[in-house]
Amino acid sequence: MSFKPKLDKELTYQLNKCFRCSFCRSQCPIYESKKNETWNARGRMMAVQLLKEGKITLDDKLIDRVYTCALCKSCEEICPGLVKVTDIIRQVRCQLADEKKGPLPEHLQMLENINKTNNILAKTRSKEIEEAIKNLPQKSDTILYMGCVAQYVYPKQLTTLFKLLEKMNIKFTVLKDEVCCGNYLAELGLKKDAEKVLLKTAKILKDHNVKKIITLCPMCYNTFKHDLQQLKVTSKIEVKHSTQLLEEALNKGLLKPSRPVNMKLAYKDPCHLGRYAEVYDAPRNILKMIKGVELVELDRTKEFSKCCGGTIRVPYSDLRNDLCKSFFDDVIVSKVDGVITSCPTCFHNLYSTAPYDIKGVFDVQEILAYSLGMIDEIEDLTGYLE
Amino acid sequence: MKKEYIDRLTTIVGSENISTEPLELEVYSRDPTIVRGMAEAVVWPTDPEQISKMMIFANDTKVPVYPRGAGSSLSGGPVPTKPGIVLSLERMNKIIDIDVDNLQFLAEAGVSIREINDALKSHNLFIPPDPASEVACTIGGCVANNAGGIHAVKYGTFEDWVLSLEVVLPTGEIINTGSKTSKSVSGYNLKGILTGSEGTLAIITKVRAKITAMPETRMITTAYFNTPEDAGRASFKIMVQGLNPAAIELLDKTTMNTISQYLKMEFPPSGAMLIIEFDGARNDVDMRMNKAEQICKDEGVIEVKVSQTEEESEKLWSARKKAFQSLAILGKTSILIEDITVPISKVPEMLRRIHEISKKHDTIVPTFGHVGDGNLHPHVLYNEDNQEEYDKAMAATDEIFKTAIELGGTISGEHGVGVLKRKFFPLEHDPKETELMKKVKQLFDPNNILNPNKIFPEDA
Repeated sequence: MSFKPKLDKELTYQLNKCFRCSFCRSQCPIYESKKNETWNARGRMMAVQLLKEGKITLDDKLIDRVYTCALCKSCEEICPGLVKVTDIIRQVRCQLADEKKGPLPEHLQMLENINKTNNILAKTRSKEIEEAIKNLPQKSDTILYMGCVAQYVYPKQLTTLFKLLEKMNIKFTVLKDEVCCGNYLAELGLKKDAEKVLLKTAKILKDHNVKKIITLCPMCYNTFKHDLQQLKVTSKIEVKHSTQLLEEALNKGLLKPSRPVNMKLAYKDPCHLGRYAEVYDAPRNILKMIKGVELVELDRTKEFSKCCGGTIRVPYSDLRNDLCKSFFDDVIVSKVDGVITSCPTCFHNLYSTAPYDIKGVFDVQEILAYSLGMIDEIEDLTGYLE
Repeated sequence: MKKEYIDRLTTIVGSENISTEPLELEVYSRDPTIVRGMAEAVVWPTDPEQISKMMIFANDTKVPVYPRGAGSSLSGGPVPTKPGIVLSLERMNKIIDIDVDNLQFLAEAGVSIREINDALKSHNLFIPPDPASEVACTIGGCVANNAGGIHAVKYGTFEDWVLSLEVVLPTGEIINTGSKTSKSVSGYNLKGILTGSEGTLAIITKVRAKITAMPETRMITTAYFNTPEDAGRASFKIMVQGLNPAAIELLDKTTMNTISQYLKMEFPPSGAMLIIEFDGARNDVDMRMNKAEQICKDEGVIEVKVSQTEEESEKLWSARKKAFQSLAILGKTSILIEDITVPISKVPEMLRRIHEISKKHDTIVPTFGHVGDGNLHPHVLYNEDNQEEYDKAMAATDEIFKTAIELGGTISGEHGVGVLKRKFFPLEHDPKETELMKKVKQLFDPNNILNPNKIFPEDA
């Protein structure tokens, strides 16, 4: 297949900055699984260069190299050249999409899902979440953007957040016609489709006169924090991740958790909240304020934390499993009771792959809500609660 | 490569551990240098027995084999300069044993130095040599190149830490050489010959090496001087007064400027800086640090500043490790990275001569390096498509090597000769010594199939 990557001037400069030092070997989760240099940043950057020079041709194996990059930015944290690896991969994906050579059919199914159902999973809301939404105010200039995974797979995370926000006296509502933020489409290089989805959302937000967005999903957070701000009509909307708001409320004394949760927990930094948005402290500070919680930092933590493979699960579920296994290997060594995160996608991947040695995978908000006495049980917590 | 050869290799290592795909061949034919080659097959053996069978096959068929660790070499060492097989050790990556009682570990060749130190951390132990690429470079590659790094001034290079090696000879035999003991004079020191042999004598498959306790304290100070020579003199005096620093790194003005722009860091106006680290017991470190500061003052330091926090120290080391990449700011397409080393008393003169050579040949030569042990990294910059610049760069490089030898130094302190420094080899080694070395090579590798075309100039 004929394909020559045409990077813009800035990304051509970025590509040339890669001097094949090999440092990315130490961080790339895909390389850790494959143990083959063509699957890490150095190999991928060389592949782009070789394609540009016409020394190799595009085939299915190369397509896999392009779409298995989890865009987790782990390599960028260690890269001495500060090469913008993920931006290069995204631009190559955009060109592949423009030339109808990518993404993969499984990816296009997700686009179709969004176009047909407004959510990437093509699911309908559960009764639980529908009922909870009914009880919210009809109008508010503060919107909780529910996101696809929490809304359609883990509604309890959302309903818990509803309760927490109410307790903080935040008047908010949700968009009954919420559309997927489109972050995943942008990551796949489906730029025009992502823009279309974002513009649709921007119009809805403008129509509802929204001034503030709260997100639970770190991908939504990044889309609204960065991409939405580029649009004139939505440039002044304030965007907060739920953990940032909860931390503020705890600091102000609006929330006073008192019920002990006697657990040793390792916090899993979501790539899109950590490396992308540099929100490392808020979730940790919340956990530190919960009596009984012993927070343990894994060897690879914060900017070096391991990726759960959420962005590549479809269609590379085996690789996702490898990535999660690698994460849990570290967790087991750290001898904690469980893992806690603040991203529904990370939650899903960890929850789906957790080995028997791990007693539970938890969500920051649920633990907080339990400690505040707002909910009485959390799955997997048996034996740790008083 | 003939299909029957590929089939034979596939039988040995399994179809999941061999590739002849164009992308793999290209990627495994490069390291960070400008040296190019072309592999015909890449194999990822998973145990020494597979390597043994491969070497018997390669020896029979006279197909060259190029061992590769992390491919982080700065000499072109792992590049397949003749068509052949790249043998990557990255799937032999287990730490087999950490023997805390005897202060040693045993690991397969493909484990990285960072992974070893991570595993040792909970025992409060570490292996001190730390090449700048320690996050990635492998123990096998480090031993094969006798790598050093920032802390070599106190802790030495890998040859000072290796106890024993398991290697596969080019003729296929698997041997163990060395001992579990820290002292052994039983027989010739074959592990000594293999350490630093740049993968030309045997394929290292396992390394047993010493480890030591983490120091109680680490303290870093930065000292800014008017000229590199002043900084070099201060470094020399710190060394000869026996203050035993864990590291002394020099950065010249050009490098400071590029780091400053690249990382948005501020340095006081000066012509060179030293980053000096002491480690050990707190009181002892304080005492030695005070003496070092006094030496810096005696040598006309402009400013001297002790890092107050671990974070500040980390930031400085991180900046130092990014020095090379920061040179991209200067807008040249190519860099010749040298690692000349001179006796420590000659460091100030070497620094002065590099400056003169740079001016004489109208070539930018940013210089930094491990000044405490005399190991300097002058980086000769040029634009590849500018013949005049290229010629000047080559002339400057020639003169730098000649000067290092004239001052009693060596052409390579830690990167190895590889491909890039082959032509300078005769500057340092007389014909008789070279002949002996070649006889050693022939003894190990009678058919010259293991990493040929490296070290010796006539192969160039």
